[in-house]
Amino acid sequence: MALAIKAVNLTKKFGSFTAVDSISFEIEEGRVIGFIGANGAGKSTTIKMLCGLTKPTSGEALVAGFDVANHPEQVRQNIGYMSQRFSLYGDLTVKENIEFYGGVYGLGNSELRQRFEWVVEVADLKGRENLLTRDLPLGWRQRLALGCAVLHHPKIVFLDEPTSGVDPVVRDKFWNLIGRLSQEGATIVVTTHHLEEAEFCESIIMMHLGRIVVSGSPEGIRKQFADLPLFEIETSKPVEVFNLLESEPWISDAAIFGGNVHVYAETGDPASVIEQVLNKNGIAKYTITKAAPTLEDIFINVTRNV
Amino acid sequence: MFENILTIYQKEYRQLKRDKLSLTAIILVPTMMLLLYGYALNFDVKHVKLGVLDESNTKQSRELTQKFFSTEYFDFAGVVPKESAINKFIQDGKGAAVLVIPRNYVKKILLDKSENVQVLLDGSNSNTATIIMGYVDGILQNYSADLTVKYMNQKGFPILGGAIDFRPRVYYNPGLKSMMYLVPGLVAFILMILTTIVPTISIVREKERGTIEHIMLAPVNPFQVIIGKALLYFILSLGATVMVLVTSVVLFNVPVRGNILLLAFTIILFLIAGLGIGILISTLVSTQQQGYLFASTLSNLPNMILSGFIYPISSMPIWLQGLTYFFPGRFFIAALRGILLKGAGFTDIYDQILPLLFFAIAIPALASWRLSRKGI
Ligand SMILES: Nc1ncnc2c1ncn2[C@@H]1O[C@H](COP(=O)(O)OP(=O)(O)O)[C@@H](O)[C@H]1O
Ligand SMILES: [Mg+2]
Repeated sequence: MALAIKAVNLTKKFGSFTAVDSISFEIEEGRVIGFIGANGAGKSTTIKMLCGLTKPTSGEALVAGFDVANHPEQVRQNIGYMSQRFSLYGDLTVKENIEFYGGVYGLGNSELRQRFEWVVEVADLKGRENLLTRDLPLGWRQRLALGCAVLHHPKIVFLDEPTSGVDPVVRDKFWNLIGRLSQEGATIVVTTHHLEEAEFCESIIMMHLGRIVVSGSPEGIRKQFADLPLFEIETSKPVEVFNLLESEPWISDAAIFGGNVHVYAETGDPASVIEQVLNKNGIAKYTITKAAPTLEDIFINVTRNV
Repeated sequence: MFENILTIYQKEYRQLKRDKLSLTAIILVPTMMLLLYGYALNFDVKHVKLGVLDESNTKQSRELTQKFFSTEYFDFAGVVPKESAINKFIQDGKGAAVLVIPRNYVKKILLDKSENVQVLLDGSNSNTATIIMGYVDGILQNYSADLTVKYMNQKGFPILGGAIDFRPRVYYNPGLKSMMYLVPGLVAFILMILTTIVPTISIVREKERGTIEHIMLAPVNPFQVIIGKALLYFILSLGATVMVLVTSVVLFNVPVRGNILLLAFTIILFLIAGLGIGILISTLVSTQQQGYLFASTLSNLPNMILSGFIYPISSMPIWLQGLTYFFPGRFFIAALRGILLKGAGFTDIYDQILPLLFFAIAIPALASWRLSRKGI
């Protein structure tokens, strides 16, 4: 399959600070890819380099087959971008925003009309065309922004934290829209700091402090880390168990999760060591099971020792 | 190409139309500033206390003295007995200036030499001093014109039967109203603020909000974006200029003696230079505050202080005079004074227009160069 994006040792420094540290990856055409990482991981900087908004300090990137550094024009023709910040004009109406972006993308009249209908439909803005954009709820604004970013049918769409700040229901609607774009054949690159959203992606790239720490499909990543020493303790006294275990030096993480205690135990034969501690402290009724790691667990694990 | 410029222009126009406050400010504030400054900064100096040292003590010299005190500009402050007493007279505050008529005054005017009357004045306030000099000049010229006519008549040159009042008015600024002198400066000052600050804010705001990134990714180039924006502010500035000028004419009796087209051309050159400065600044800064700061310190302040608006250029130290050539304000004010007050034509003030033309080309060129290298 053809590659939509290929990055080789892409690096961005701001002064002596390295925001993106020599990352390399490949993204196949037509995929939905998530860049996942905490604030400051370097996701936005990576996206901006791929769009040609920021020059890489070193390394190179091919986007839609064009070198971003040497052929920014051709790259731009093939991409749509929605930035982390609100990218529409709050003091223009829905209609005026669409007209403006349609205008700068050189859409002809009939095409603009067609795309206008499309955006209004997918962003669920029928009847609100003449509202000022700043008066729309965030969820609607974000979908309108996405609509405006793809007016020109780009092959590759970059969405930087499109769901940050919106509630889960609206988030799901947004992902439906992403799914729709994907079905139309676009390659979609989304950044997020919500690990739950990884499940919506075919592939994820986890970033931390400017580096890629893990990448692959959510399934594949979970398989790869299936051996993590994660244990779930079912008990009627989760708080006591949590307190007991948390202070143990070989427990690097403990959490109460829906009435159960989850621990990350870095020691030989963890199950029996946990058993010893609990028995010694008079906790009788419990069951210890090896837990399958969630992406959250994996993310915590891979970023712990960096 | 043109569609892109129009798209940007239309967007900008729609935003501004909705931003009633800014729109009103852009159109009305210049005129309000004119009224405010016009009435507050009224430089008219009246009832200057004038001492007299009349060494000639003749009928003619008393006639001249009388000319001074028959205006509202000068009040008689006393007789100064001798030349060595002049300094003390002024220092003691008895008078602000002393009219000195030399012993051979009559002989000089009879010999058809320009009489050499002196007015010594307190130069500590160069502004007042300049204005007083203006009055003195005016009165002396009027008087010498009178004398010329009389003299010619005496010598038997009937100047067209004396039917023509051969009385040259003061070269410019008739009536010596300083407001007229002030208005061109004010127009320059107001337009400079308008043309630098407004586009800077409009461009930098898009940087702050991040909307510029989206425009830059679209197939429009930075020039089209800038021209689309500048076009709107150019039209608005032109409108504001017309209002300011009409107000000046109606309320302050500022004449428009010169050619309207030349006036329009001069104003357009200055507007383009100003917008160029605004655009140049917006390529250098990333926040609105920086924009204000840059615009005021690099352009508005120097264009006010170093243009002859507030301080006469001729009374500046030489090095400062040299600096005035780097700001379009200086040339604009001189050209405007020439066109409005003196009715100057292109050939009279080409030495002001050509530098303005240079600024109107060079500054936008510099801004384009920055844009092509760094983007917006
Ligand atoms: N223009 C800049 N100048 C200096 N540092 C920056 C700049 N942009 C981003 N950074 C820094 O680079 C790091 C990565 O930022 P960013 O790419 O925005 O992360 P993310 O999008 O993952 O939250 C952060 O530490 C941020 O402070
Ligand atoms: Mg970010």
